[in-house]
Amino acid sequence: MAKIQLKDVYKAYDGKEVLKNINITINEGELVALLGSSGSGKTTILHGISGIINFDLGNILINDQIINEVPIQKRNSVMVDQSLLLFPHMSVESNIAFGLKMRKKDKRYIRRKVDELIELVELKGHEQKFPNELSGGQKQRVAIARALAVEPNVLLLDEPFSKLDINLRKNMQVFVKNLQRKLNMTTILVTHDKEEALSMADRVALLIEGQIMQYDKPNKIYERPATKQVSDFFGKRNYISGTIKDGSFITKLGVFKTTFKDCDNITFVLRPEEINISNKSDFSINGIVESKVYLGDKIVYTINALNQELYCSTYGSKNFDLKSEVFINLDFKNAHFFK
Amino acid sequence: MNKLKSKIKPYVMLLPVMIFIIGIFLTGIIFGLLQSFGYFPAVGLHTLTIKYYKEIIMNANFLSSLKFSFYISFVSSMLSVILGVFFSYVLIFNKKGNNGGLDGMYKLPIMVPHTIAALLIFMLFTQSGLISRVLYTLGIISEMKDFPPLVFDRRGFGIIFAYIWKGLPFITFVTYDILKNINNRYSKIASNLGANNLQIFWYVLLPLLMPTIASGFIIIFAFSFGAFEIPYLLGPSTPKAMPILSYIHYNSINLADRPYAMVMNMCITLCSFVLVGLYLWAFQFIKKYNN
Amino acid sequence: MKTKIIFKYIIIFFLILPLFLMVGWSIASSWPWPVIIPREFTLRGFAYTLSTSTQGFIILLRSVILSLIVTLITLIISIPAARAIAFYNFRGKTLIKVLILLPLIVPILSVAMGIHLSFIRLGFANNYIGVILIHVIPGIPYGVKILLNIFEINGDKIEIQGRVLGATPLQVMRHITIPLLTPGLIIAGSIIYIISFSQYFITFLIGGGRIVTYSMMLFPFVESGDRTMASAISIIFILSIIIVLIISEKLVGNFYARSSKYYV
Repeated sequence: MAKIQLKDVYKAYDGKEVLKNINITINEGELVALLGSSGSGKTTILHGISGIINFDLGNILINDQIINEVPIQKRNSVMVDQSLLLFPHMSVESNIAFGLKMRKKDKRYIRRKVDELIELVELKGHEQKFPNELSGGQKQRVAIARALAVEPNVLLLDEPFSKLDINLRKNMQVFVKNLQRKLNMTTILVTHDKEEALSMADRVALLIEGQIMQYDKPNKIYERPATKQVSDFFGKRNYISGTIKDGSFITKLGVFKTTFKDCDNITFVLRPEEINISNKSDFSINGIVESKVYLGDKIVYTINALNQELYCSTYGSKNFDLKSEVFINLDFKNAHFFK
Repeated sequence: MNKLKSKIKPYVMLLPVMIFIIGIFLTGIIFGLLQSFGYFPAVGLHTLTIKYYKEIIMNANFLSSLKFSFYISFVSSMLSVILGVFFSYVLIFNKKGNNGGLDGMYKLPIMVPHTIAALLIFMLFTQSGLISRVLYTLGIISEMKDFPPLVFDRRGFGIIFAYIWKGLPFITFVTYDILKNINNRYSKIASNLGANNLQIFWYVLLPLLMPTIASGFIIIFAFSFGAFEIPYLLGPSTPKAMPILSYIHYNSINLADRPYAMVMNMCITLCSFVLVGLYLWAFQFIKKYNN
Repeated sequence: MKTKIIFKYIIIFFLILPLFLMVGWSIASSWPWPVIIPREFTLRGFAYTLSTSTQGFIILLRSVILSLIVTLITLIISIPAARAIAFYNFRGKTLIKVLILLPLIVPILSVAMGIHLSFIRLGFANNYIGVILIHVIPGIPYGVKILLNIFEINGDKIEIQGRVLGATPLQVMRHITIPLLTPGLIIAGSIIYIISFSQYFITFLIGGGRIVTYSMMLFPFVESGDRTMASAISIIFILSIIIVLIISEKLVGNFYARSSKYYV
């Protein structure tokens, strides 16, 4: 368990920049999610920390020690890859013991450690099975136990749940999160799944095109995005620009009361759930339903109001027809803004 | 009707191959087996007997041939496998891959027939061969006679060299792609878990490659155990390799000698079967992890 | 890492060196011990092999044709067999698989000696029919196994897709099955050809010495230790294999490259 730092890390493949100037600190016992779409460079960061690749520039520090030159097998930063890569010719036990055996640990120590981990990942009774005799979730737990066996400085999870079906994925997320807390294990989780990152991580680093756009607590990064790019990443957003003068926010959609100070140019970000919609004329702005997407627990509408497209969502039984006229209300109470 | 048709269909598709396999291959073996038990109507032998087996097993010539053949096949196949796998392992570290170029040249001996392999080994290793000449030039030997006879010798060096020359590239050829895949897949995670290169090879690559290695071993062992050309061209006059001894009996003017040849053929076949049995026994657990 | 590279080149050296030695001997007329480079040169070996009076060239051509026929027959019977094993479940499948692979393990010499008498009775011995028939046997495991791998990798989904899109079974075979199978056919065909072309003993036994293939022409020169002759014949042997393989690969490859250009 350790503190991990990346300082000014840069990596290019064939002249194509994959990572530009990455700086990040992961505290001891913290679970940090590297969130980004494919090609954003998140896996490259993980490979660099584990030693599978070398960064072109910059330093990796573990507990304030530069470890750039430490070879992969001595780095003790263990990956759990999405394809898990359990050794197919070894039993569950031997898979878990692998790292310890390679380090030529004492046999009794290995025995004790393996038993402990089998208990921890709830695989009692499966010790002698081979990987292809296990279910997806069991394989996952073997892979995690195998990584934990060597008591790594940091556990690196590379999209570990992406191949599991949805229910199992949720269970494993909770399982891993609990395990990580219990062991106070410094962990980096690479994922493209927003929900996974937000629900599991202590802090989320959003990567776009090789740069960390924002590094913050889940609620902060979701509710208080630093830039439009970050806010767009988490879903459809409404951007409403205008000026504030004497307690009034003046926009194309109308004038709203506000407690903000005067300001020439301000953009408020409204999430779809922050726009209310009704078919009675109890709201001030009217518009036409352009499209609607039914998502089960909610319905997302695109509404054309005064030539501006607005996204809003309704929950429960509220339902509006396509092309019908609706009335909307903007709720700026908790709205986030960029200046 | 349709159901019946689809049931019969695979058998119809297999029929042409099975005509050859049953009509020639299996029939050949069964006739050989019958003759080895003394059932040989062509020369008026009709009674089944194990007398030929008894006589052959007591025969010193036969026993020394059996020993000689086994020794040659085992040593040459073992060395081919060890060197071939090692060579495969070395090749997977090539960055450019293994297509064409100097590294691709290793495949050449695979397509060279055994007769030519025998010729090459002969030209290399006889007392007047290239190696002896090089040693003379280097001043290590001063006369042709100083060079040990490595061909036609009783230890079968020439035969073994020839089989290794053919067997090593064959083993590399059958293991290379698989080894490369295993390595790409597992070596990173293994080193990530703390294994060094030697440990990766020993604990991960080698066990996963073992089924391929074993079947490669069986193929070259069985071939060298039952092939005529190389021991005939490079072997000593005594002991003779089994296939040669068998052919001598087969070709004898006295047709009644043929059962002896057949007994030997059956011994050769049986040895190969034992090997396959060992293979199946050793790898029965592979089903567990072979996905 | 360095030692690995050194070992690699040592092994390559010992695999390739004898072939160079053979080239040297094929043109040497005088190469006494202990000289490393031949003193006098001759083309006697090549002349003998390729001249019309010695029939060397005729024998070579006949052998090429013989082995091509063997290859063709083996491939034709292997394709349906490999398909049946890949895509159907039926009783006795394991047994049939084992039987098909068995010629890899059981020496062909035992088979040839066992079947020889029957061949004589049926009139297959001492002629091309018998030689072709016996040559097919050692190629079968390679033919079926390689094509089986290809079928298993490709699966039959793509053929079913072809049928769904309205192709007749024959069209599917012409436009989907065979093009997908082409790489496998080339590899398997090459191996089968080489095996057949290299056979000495079974040709000698079943052909009764009357069918003289190129391998049989070579054998006595190796046996008697005539290095110049044996080397020259061997070089033509290997070259002929390479030429046949290249031509057939080009022919088969081009045919389907062109057909896919027209029809896809």
